[in-house]
Amino acid sequence: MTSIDRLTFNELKQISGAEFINELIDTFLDDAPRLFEELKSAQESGNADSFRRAAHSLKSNAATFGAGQLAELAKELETLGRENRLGETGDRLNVLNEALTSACDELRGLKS
Amino acid sequence: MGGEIWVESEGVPGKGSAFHFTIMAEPAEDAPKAPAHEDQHILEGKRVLIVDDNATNRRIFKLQVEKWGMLTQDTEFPRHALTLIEKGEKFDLITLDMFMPELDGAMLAKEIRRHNPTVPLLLFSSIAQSEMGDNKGLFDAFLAKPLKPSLLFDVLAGIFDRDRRAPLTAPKMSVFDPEMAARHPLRILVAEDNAVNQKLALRMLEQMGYRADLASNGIEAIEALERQPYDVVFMDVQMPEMDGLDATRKIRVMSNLVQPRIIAMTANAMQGDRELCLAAGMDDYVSKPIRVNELVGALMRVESK
Repeated sequence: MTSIDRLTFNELKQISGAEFINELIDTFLDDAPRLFEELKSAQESGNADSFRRAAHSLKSNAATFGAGQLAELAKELETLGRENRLGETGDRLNVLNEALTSACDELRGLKS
Repeated sequence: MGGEIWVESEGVPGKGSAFHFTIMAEPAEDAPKAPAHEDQHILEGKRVLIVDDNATNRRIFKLQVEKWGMLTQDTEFPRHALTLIEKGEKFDLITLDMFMPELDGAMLAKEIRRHNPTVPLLLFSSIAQSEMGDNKGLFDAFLAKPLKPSLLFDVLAGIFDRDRRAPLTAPKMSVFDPEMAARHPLRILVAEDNAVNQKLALRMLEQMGYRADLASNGIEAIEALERQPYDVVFMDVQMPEMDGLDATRKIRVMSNLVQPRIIAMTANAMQGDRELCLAAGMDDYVSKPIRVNELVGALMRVESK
């Protein structure tokens, strides 16, 4: 199963241009681990606002590149953050981390 | 059975002859039903401009294609259609009537082609294709009046499927109009904290000829506005330090500022989101990920000074 919806990705490639898409992918790859760390530390410290914001950025970036599953997971976490329910995240951070890793791997392969 | 059969021939060897026949036939007992259009998604969201001086024809066409999820804009005036295109409005399809006052379908098609060589043009007219002569090449497809929905669907699906079948790696015409900024100059500020979104927004604007300035949060946006006037601010709603809603409320009460148009950018597809932005003093709204059409539309609604 692929993490990246090719139709969305190709549209993005078309609007950003074949060269610029590489820069955009690099930006995503640079930001992703930072955002995930932010999410983790926000949960540990109970900072719901910071948690919500990191999840929101992940959701937005995932949607831009067509990483549908990742976007869904991030959206769930964003909602938990907004509703100040950080205790209810369960296994979601680990699941999100896996989805994020596979999306990053696939995006690396899509660079030209 | 009834009917006729005849042949037309000039009697010149090598010139060929035309054989014709007509027959009388009963309609089939169980005529095939209108297609279920499982391919309807091909048409969904496509923007069509309908140009026809006949209000009834416009209306029928509009109602039909809206059922399939197409977005329509229509006008009875060929000149108005041209103005929209000159202004940079983007359409996925333009449908034209042939006989219109002032500018007929063929003349309008020629004018449109000068501005946009690629947009598919559909001639929807009672004129026969054989009567078109040289003008036939101006159009991508033809449809006879009166409108038959199943035929229209097939024609439209043919137009858009051709696009879909085009290999994705083929060098496509840019989806952006690089002259847009020259025709519709604007001073633009993008307030956005997310690096991917920053880059993508600036890149899209750049391809239309705009060089936008960047602010990473609400505070920076206000500082930028204090330094120089902007015609329009693209305002992300979720930003650290000061979010887009707070920044907008503050900007709106700053009487020393030349008030910009403020366009919300948000990845929240939640109901009430738009209302929240408008209530804070924003004027317009584009959703993220940003679509080219939405962005162009939002820019065109900003008054150019």
